[in-house]
Amino acid sequence: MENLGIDVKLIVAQMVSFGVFYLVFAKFISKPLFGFLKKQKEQEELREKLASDLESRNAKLEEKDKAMDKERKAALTKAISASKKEALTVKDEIIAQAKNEAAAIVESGKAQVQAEREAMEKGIRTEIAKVSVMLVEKALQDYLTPSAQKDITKHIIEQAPKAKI
Amino acid sequence: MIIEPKLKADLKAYLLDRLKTKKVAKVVIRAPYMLGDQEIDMLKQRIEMLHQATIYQEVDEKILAGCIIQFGSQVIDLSLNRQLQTLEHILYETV
Repeated sequence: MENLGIDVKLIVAQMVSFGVFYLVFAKFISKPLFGFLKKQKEQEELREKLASDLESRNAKLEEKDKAMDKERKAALTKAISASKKEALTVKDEIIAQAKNEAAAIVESGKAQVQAEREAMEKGIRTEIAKVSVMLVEKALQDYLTPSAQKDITKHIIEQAPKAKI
Repeated sequence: MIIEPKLKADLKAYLLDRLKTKKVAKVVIRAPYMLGDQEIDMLKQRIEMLHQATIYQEVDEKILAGCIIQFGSQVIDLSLNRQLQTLEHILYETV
């Protein structure tokens, strides 16, 4: 064996050393290390699961948010449309009312103008009649002599109808 | 309608008194001058009751011509002023 370069003692020593190392390693290093690695792996998996959950939840939330946004927009559009419609109705009503009021004002104005014109015409007629008669009266006062007064009185009495009183 | 007995008695007495004593009517004739007998006669021909009435004359220079006869609450206007008023009315209606 020695001629082949193999030292049996060394090999035995190496084998014993390896066995000791294996025992020490198996007892004190391998178990906690594997336990640590296993724990690390579990934690990694948990983290991944949590991240995945978070991501799916986030996606769901985003979808929900989009749906709500869509609903909000639809409601807003509907409300704007309804408001526009109502505004148009109110506008039409206001215009119709304003037209009616304007027509009433015009009618009232026409009636007032007509009444004023009639009153003015009446006043003018009254004035013309009064002035004419006043002029005649004045002329008669100036030119009626006592004899003319007597003649007129006689004529009036002659023309008077018989009164049965 | 219920009439108070006292009022009824007074009214009856007044009417009986009025029937017994025939009062002569008082007529006032207003003219721009004192009317002559001829004019009064002409008036009497037109208005019968002037025969039984006492006629009083009043001069009213506001009357242009003609006369106004008044007895009690009744008035017969035979004045030129009245005719002018009629003319004024006609003018008002026709202008």
